Amino acid sequence: MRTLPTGQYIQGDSILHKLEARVKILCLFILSAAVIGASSIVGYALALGTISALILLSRLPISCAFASVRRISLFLLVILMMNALFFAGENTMASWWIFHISREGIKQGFSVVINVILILILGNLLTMTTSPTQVTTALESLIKPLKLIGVPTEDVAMIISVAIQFIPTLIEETESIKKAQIARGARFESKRLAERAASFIPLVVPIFISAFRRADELSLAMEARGYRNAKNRTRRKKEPLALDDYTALTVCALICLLQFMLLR
Amino acid sequence: MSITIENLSYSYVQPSGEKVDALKNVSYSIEDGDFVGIMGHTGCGKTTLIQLMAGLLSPTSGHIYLNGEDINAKGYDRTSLRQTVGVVFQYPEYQLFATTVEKDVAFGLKYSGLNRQDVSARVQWALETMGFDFEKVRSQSPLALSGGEKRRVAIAGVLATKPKILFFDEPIAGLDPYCRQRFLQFVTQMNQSGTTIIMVSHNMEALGECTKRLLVLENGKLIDAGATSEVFVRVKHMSNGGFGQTEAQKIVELLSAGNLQLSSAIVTYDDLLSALRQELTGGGMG
Amino acid sequence: MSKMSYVKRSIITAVCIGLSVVLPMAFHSIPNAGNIFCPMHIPVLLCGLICGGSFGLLCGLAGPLLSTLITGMPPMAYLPSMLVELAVYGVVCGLMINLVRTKKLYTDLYISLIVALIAGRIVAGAAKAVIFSAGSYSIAAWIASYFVTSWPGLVIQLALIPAIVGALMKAKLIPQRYSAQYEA
Repeated sequence: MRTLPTGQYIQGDSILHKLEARVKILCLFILSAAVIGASSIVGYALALGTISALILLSRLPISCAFASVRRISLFLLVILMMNALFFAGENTMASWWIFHISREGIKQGFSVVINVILILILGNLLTMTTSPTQVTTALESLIKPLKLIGVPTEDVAMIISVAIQFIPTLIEETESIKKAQIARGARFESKRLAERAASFIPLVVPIFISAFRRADELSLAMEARGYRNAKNRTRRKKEPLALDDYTALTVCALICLLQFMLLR
Repeated sequence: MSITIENLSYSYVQPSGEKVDALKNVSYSIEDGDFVGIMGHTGCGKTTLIQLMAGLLSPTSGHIYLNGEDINAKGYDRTSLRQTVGVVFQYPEYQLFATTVEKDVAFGLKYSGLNRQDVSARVQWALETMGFDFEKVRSQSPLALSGGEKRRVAIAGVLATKPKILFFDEPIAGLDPYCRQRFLQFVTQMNQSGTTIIMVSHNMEALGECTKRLLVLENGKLIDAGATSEVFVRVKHMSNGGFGQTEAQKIVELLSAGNLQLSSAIVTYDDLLSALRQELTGGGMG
Repeated sequence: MSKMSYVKRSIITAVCIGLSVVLPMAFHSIPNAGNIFCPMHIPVLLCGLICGGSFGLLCGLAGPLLSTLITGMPPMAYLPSMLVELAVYGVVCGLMINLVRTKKLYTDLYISLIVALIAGRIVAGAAKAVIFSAGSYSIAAWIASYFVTSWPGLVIQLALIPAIVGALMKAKLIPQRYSAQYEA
């Protein structure tokens, strides 16, 4: 029985690991705003400094934080090029047909790329120090306010936790079906599009059939036990926030404030 | 078609970082036309062994020889491997997908190089071997059939390539007694017509009835191998136990508690009946 | 398709969310399957078609989110635009399948799918231009990424999804849309 892949989560006991997941998510948003609000060298230095401090606090190897940046390096290059080559600003340095190279364009290109990288690293810090279960539990409580506009948040939470529980089973079944069809001689390569499309049917159809069959069984079992919606379920007691959590929130808010003051 | 496995090991790393040794240094030889059973507790590596032998997994170390050729060697013809080796997984009906029974069964023959007529003939043969009326069933949707019919269609799909070796992973799981009996008859017939059969099962009766030889796996290691009746007897005395006995063996045990000693080599009902007959007609070794 | 109970639709949505995470993993090992195929789109489109717009929306949001958290794919940088695209797929599929009733199952499906796929791309492209990559996104780039390079993926989705729906109906796992019997 395979266990759930933990994605980018790396176990540890640093301060960042110990913070409450909800706090970390909020801080992620606050600091992302701070990053986007950076508009001068000082601003960027502040953002960079904050993030370096966080990486140190997490006691995680630096290479981890940058691994996903490397993966999208091509995408970042494209953004840089699109801004550098197509943006017509006041200080146009060269112009030909649809290509315009200007100081603004190049600056913009770099600033967008740096923003993306910094926010990406922030996001990685979150996922590397928080297990997927913790993140989803945190998200559940964070979306509670949506109840006010009629979103059935308990049902949403139930659906997501059922989804997570299904994943190991789905992985096993998918592997099993894949092997069975390969054993029958299925092939998934082909140059012609129509053939390629058709070659996935023996894989995809059985996967959905078996997944839906499990859904059928589970929903019947739930209905048989009187379940209709998640409103009246018993819930686990929430743990109060610790001092570290409040400190973290305050520091992040201050940094963001500083950033916006620098904007003027 | 013979298979020889030599020092076969398979390990993998779980996403949590834990290393799992699914198979440790297993070696065995299966001759052409043999009927070998594989038994062991859940998680002992039976399914991994089958997948390795069928070329669906690459071993961490060790070799698998099909008719003397290493199936994991570079340049080994994988397409013909798929045609020669047939694997029926547990609950094979889950692999059905096509719009008609005929198309689903014909799926395995896509790369066989046969022309349309031959494919049609093979599909008909496979379905009829599994007890279907070809004309009635050919254009039905396989997904709308009953559970037992689905399983037979799935097996027909594997048979269609006329494999020389057939692997079965828990083939009678979930079948009612009548279907179970028909399946065991079918698989014995296949073996008698020359197909090498390797069957994983928990069911002692099924193993006792059909298999000639048994492999016993525990925690990835091969702990016993040999003729079926001999292995059954030895397995009963293993300290871990829990392998169960055939009904006939249980009756022998009960009778010996009641002071009627019968041979410990009795495994199936047929053995038991002939032993009892000998006893009842007075004297003779039983 | 809307005759199923709330509970059943909820659990089907859960399974579709799970598949949004699992399918890309399964296709990862098949060369050239993941990048043109967008395996994550299929469960979302199906969820919208089978369970309706609100469940489709949930699937379109939760699927990629969980997938990024659990498997790291898609990378966080692509997440926002994927969330928008898939959310629109889920909602529009649900809307369209309830509006379009041509009495032919496959026609309904194709129309709903095509409208959803186009709408999703339009909205995601707009979001990218306005919010995510402000300033650097032009119509040319949008057409290029959403239509030219991923059009094989579009074709594959259009081919696979009706096949899956047909199979699910034959297996009686979801109710028939029209009471007359269909040849698959």
